[in-house]
Amino acid sequence: MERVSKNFGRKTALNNVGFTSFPGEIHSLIGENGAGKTTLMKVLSGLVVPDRGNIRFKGKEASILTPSDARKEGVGMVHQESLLIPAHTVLENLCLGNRFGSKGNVLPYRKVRIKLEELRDKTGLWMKEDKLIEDLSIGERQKVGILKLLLRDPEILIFDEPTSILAPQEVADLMSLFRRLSRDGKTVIFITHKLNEVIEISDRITVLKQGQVVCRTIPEETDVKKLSKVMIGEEVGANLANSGPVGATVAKLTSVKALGVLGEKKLMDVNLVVRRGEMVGIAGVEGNGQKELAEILSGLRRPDGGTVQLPREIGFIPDDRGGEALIGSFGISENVALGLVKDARFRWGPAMLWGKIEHYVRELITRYGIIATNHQQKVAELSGGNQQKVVLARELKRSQDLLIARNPTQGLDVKATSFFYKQMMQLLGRDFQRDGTEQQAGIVLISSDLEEILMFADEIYVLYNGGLLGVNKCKASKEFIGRLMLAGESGRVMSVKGDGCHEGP
Amino acid sequence: MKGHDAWVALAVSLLALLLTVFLTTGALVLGGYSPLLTFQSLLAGSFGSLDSFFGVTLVRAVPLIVIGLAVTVAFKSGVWNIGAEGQFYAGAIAGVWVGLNVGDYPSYFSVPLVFLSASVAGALWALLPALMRTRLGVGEVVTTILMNFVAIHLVSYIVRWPLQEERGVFPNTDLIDESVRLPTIVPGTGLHLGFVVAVILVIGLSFFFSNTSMGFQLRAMGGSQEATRVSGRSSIPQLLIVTFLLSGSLAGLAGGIEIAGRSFALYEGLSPGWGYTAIAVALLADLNFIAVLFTGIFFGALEGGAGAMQREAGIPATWVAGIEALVLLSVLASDRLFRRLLRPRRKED
Repeated sequence: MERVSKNFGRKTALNNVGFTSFPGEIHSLIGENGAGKTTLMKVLSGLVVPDRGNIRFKGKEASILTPSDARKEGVGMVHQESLLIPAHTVLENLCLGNRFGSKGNVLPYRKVRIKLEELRDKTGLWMKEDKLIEDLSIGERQKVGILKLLLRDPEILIFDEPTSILAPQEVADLMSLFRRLSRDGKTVIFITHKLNEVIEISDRITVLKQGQVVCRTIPEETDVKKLSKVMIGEEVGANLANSGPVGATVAKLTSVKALGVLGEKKLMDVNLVVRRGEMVGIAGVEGNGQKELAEILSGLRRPDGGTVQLPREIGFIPDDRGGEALIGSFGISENVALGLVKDARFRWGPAMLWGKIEHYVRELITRYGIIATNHQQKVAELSGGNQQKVVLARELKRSQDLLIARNPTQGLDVKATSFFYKQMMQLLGRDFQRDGTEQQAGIVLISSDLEEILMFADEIYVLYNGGLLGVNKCKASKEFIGRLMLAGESGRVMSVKGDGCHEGP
Repeated sequence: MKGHDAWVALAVSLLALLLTVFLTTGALVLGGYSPLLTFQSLLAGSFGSLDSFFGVTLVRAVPLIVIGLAVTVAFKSGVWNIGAEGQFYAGAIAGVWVGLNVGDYPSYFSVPLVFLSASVAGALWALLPALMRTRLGVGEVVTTILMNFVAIHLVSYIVRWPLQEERGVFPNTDLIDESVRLPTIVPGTGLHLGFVVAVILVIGLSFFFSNTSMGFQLRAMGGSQEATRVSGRSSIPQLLIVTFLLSGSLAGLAGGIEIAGRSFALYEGLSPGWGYTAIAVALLADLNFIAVLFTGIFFGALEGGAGAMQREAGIPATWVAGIEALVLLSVLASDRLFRRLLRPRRKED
């Protein structure tokens, strides 16, 4: 790609970007939120038409105006959110949009099955084809997405932040898939925020900043520190206190049970104590009861058994940004106001004090570095990372007693992540700049990002199949917790008793 | 952005009207009528004179505006209340019953009493679908429509038995007493105080939805129920009930206003499907309360001008129902068309 430029309104998304990749290489594309990574790849895959610039494949000029043009050139993209139909089976989803020369309205089940077996032999990737998508974990859905792309046998595969939702073992699997693909002569383009993954896997690295290429390098010549410097000039997790004084109990769950719509058990006999100034980390693969636990902890839902003690001021960062955290058709102001409707400072009787709210929102936009045209811009028009910043800005403010955060740093770049970590430390009362009279809050971090949990949590639990297993922080290794998270998926049942440290192998 | 959106909405509405005129012209030509004469008589009948504007168009517009507000309240909050017709009749039944039995009190007491009872009746009529939605999870589209038929047949029963006029001949109630009727506001025409009530409601609702926390939560629920529940910490069942009751009470109030302002009696077919036309009123207004005032008058003009059109151009008045339907279809079509035209310039990433 040469001299590609794209403007959205007055905002420049890409400015004279050149990007080259070769067959058989794994090329990482990194940069801050809104740096233009996704836009650049959307240009390549025909989802966005550039204002200027041209694209060449194997030396030949190509005009890519639509996704099907890109498909013809052998470009395919695995998106951040999976575009699968939940109520259909894996096979049906794979048949959708892949005709394989079959005529009329007949779905090419047989051909797809044969192709799947070929793929299994070649890449080791396999999914039970008659399973419903809605029964699959997020990691498995992603595999289906990858399979769907591989069926078309593309030359260039683009992965848009594929690892942010995966457990460590799943990430390792994905990495080895990347290697196999590149051995087969495919080009893998890997968009990510996680710099250690970049160093580990890439053949080459391109760093984007504010729509321009600021660095092209190879892993041998760089390291995580250098890369994050290039991206934003800061290191992650620097100057963060790891422990602090712990206060009174702020939330307590006693033998809590929760049932699903059909009466199935979602949570069983969960006991949890959160104290002020303490961060509790709950690791686990999505779909093991995280949603239910988070909703009970944030007071949104009553348990179907057991007792719950909660404080008054609770902030909640949900997992599903577009569905539960934000209203896409509303502006930034109104989305922040969603958290203020019951706040006496922003109300005068039944009336909302919009002037005051907007003033406050403008302040937040500056403080959190939210990139937007103004405070009324619809959040659907913001980039994923900036949307997450809006959520954080709103929820951190209401977390005076307790913060429940599910995958809070999803889609955030290094800078925004470290800003968020600092804010969390402040909530915990570990901020050195303050005099200590500040009230401390408790935090429950529910995340599939194990690194994050290991870095900050005072207490670590693993949520597996609705049960909460305590883990001894000092003894447990990352690999051990990782296996605990996946115990069911791999068929190995771990013998977990008490603090979970009596592990054999 | 807000101003930009308003312009788009206005452009969509104007495009829809243009499309309607175009399609209607085609249909008229095919039917062997003169389009020019048709539109001329339609305009003359609705805007041509003081009497036709105040006495016909605006009088017709009153129930359309008020029910249009009821529909807007519901749709804005994500509740598909198609039952305004039934709620209107429930209000009309309660209104006429109170009107006939209130006794000899001054207007400033009995008229508000009619309004109040009509609103309460409309709200109660919407309560059953509301409870079915919040308690049982039954979609309101079907339940509210079915409640319309119940209300319509209830009116048939009431005007033949319990409340039939004194002589027991015609299927309608007696006229309510002078003291329960709304005063006219433009002398010499039939325009009654109900129009002022409608305007006040427009302003009040517009304020309520943009400036109060309850109104904001309702709007938020219309934007995303999950986000309102999770991030707004609002009780969705509670907000749904509020929406149903508010929407139903407005439609019911329209029934009360119609009884006290124009018909003075209840009879079958009091509403020629206003509960449904109001959906078009609300959608053409892009669910904007202020705009409902104007789209309500526009539809009032269409219906008001229908009589003149039949007399002057010899076109059956039912054509107007067809035109109304075309307006609705054109709105939906132009909305899509416009969004498609605007899409390439939308921001992504």
